Amino acid sequence: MTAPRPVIFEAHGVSKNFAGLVAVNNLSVRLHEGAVLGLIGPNGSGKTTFFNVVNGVYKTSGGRVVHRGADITDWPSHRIAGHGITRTFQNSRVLLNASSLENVMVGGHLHARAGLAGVLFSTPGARSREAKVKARALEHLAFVGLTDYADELARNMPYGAIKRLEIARALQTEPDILMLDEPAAGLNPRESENLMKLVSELHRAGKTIFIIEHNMRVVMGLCQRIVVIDAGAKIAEGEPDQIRRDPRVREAYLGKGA
Amino acid sequence: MADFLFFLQQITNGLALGAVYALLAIGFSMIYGILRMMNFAHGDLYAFATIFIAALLIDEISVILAIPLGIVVGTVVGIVIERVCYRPLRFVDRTIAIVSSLGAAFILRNGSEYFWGVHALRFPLLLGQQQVPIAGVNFPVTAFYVIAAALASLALFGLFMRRSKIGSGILFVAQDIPTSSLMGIPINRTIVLVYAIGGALSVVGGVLYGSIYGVVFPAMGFPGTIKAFVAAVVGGIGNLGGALIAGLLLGVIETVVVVYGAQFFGMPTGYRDAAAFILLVVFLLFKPTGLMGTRVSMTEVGAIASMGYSAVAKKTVRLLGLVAVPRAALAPAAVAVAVLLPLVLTDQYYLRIISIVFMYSIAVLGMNLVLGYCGQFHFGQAGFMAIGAYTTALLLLHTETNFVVALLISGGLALVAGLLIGIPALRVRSDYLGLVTFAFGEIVRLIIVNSEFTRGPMGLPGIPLPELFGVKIVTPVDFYYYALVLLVLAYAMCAQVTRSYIGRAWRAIYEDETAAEAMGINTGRYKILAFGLACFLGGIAGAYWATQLRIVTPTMFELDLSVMVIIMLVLGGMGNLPGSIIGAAIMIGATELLRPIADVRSAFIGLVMILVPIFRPQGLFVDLGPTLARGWARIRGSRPTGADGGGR
Repeated sequence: MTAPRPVIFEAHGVSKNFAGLVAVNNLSVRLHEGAVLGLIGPNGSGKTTFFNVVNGVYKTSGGRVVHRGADITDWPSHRIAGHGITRTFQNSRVLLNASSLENVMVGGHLHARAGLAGVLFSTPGARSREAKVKARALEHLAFVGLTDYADELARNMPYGAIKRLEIARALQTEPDILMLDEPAAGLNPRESENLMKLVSELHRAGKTIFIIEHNMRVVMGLCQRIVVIDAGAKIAEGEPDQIRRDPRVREAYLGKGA
Repeated sequence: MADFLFFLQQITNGLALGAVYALLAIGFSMIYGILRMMNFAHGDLYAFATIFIAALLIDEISVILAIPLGIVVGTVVGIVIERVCYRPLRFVDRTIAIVSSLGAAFILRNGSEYFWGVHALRFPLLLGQQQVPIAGVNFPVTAFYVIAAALASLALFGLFMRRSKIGSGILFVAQDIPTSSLMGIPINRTIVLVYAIGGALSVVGGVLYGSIYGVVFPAMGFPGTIKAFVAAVVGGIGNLGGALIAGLLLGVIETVVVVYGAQFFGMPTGYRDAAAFILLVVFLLFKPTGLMGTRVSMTEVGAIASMGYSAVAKKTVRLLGLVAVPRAALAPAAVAVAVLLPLVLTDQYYLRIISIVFMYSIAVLGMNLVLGYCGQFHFGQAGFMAIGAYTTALLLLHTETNFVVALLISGGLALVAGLLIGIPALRVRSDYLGLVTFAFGEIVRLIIVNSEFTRGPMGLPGIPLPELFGVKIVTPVDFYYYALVLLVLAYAMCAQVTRSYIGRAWRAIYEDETAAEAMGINTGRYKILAFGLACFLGGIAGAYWATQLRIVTPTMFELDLSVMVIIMLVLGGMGNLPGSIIGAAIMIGATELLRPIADVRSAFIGLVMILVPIFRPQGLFVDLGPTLARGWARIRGSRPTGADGGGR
């Protein structure tokens, strides 16, 4: 291990209840700059709910979320995105009726804002912003290998391409932290491997990544640290090897006596 | 004590009216809750079937036969609406299904007018008109019968929903259509049943309504829909107990407000509907929700305000240049044709009609931004057109204001009104914007009808001709060019905005709000922006209308106008700017062409509203722009990129 990098993101005892049902229970997570942190757990253990809480889709029932010194607890999603945290969705929420290029450019919203007057009168400032966003979007499409699909409507694209499109769109926000919710779900083994290569490339490029993933082989190969939750609460945290050997993790996944 | 008894008497009357609303609301709420479909034909169905019963009774057919027959008619009409207007559109956009249900409403209303006349029909007071005097105040026994009859039907309905297999099937379908289907519940049959039961219950409501008031009339349909809508939303969509309570509440509030408003404030009873709406809207907006606490910054407002007279004057040349956007040659070509048209077409009648088409196009373009691009329900464009028209009329009649300034003030006031109602409504829930704008349009009209400064139903005649730099706009050709300039400016504005990051943000909101938020889009702010621009354009259109007609009257701004604008939008294609103009042209053209068959005209238009969504849900001419653009690109020998095209 190299010297520890600073912690840029911290969730302190975050909880989320739905009408009495505890979906996330007092969960604390720290994320170091440039790290890849994995969040794993059995189905229904609260992983996506935790992502939703951190991203402002749901309000917290307790706890605090801090990013780069700012308390972002219960901020609306768009403000959290503006503060540098973007995500992808488990069920791939791209705009099906827009082309891939437009989809990625939507991610550039924060960098394209030129004001209504700028838009109406097509000021040089507004035009150059728009041009920059488009150029950057083409770069991101190229990075995820979708250049050929630039003009294709998302609804006509194969599922694997949509998964990568969502990552390109998230990258377009120029995030400080990228949260990926099961990026390889529903992909065949080859697509899945390609996608993981993409994620490791992002890691090498210095991105901080927080990832939910089911495929153990993938998670173990990718992440420096892994947090395991079950029934909304953390049951283990550590490096992949520790997690692999942890009896509590085995029990959560396979049941008692496994 | 007498005061208190009087109050109790009003409550009793209110509950009786509320019982009718509850019967209407349950059907509406079921359909809305299960299918997310706002059935705007609901009230007209109830009016149609009730008038049918009244007609049978006038022909001295026995009550025992007439009422069941009417209920059968209501049920069958409900089933037909489901089969024709809803089922083919189940997986298409909700707005489009709304248009087709409005089409059904048109046909039903026109049908009852055609068969039984536009006037009120006598309805026998089936439940008598006994009154019991208690301490000098007469309590209407009828009211108690009505309440009892309504509660009995609802209890029967509740029992059916709980105890029968079909009832629980409906509840399952409401939860999750695909899963219910997997569990072997016949989806189509269940949904048909929902419409049938909803229709039957509403007819029961209609019979009770007739028994209270002694008359039924075709125009009672649309208010019925709105009351059902309000009660369904307040009661919680799909929550049948809630709809019952909200219906009763609505009846009581309405009655109490009208009676005491007249007594203490001399409020004209014409405000009846407005009073109920305002109270309910206030109730809705301030109901603590804890949902999205997004706030709108005033920067957008400032930006729009800065589009003042001077800015527009300075930038006009530049803006005109902006028409030459992608799809490049098309827009200037269209403008050139439009500019040259009066040289060829000298008939003043046609020029007037085309100017009106341009006026409508401006209002429809606004609707396109908010509904077609951003996907937010805005059903009250008539209200904003009225604000614009009356502002311009009053300014030109009573002050020396230049008409350009008046035009901008009109747009600005419409915008401000839009922000005042839109900001709180959109903070709560998008669907509420639909409700609030609907109510707002009616409230504006009621204020106009009942106010001194608008001269009530008489309207404001004799609006001076507009004048700019000493040149008067007089002839139809002058007005044609005036309308054309406004349309070009409005179109350029919409084209610029929809092509920009703002348009992208709207489309992202339309398709997936959560994803849009995750990309940093302040969804609340952009919804307000779309809505504000729509209101602004509505105000501009109204202002122009006032100067061309030289008179404004409240009848110009009835609900039909809001509906008309939505139809134009859907016909032309949502999210397709040239379509807005084409849609307006088709509707105005059809209205003119159908003059010879005026008595069935609205049924015909209703039919178009049902058929177009089924066969071309994307709008009649939606592919026209891109197709021509592709053709042009082929001529030039290059490939267009999809990202530049505004259409979808």
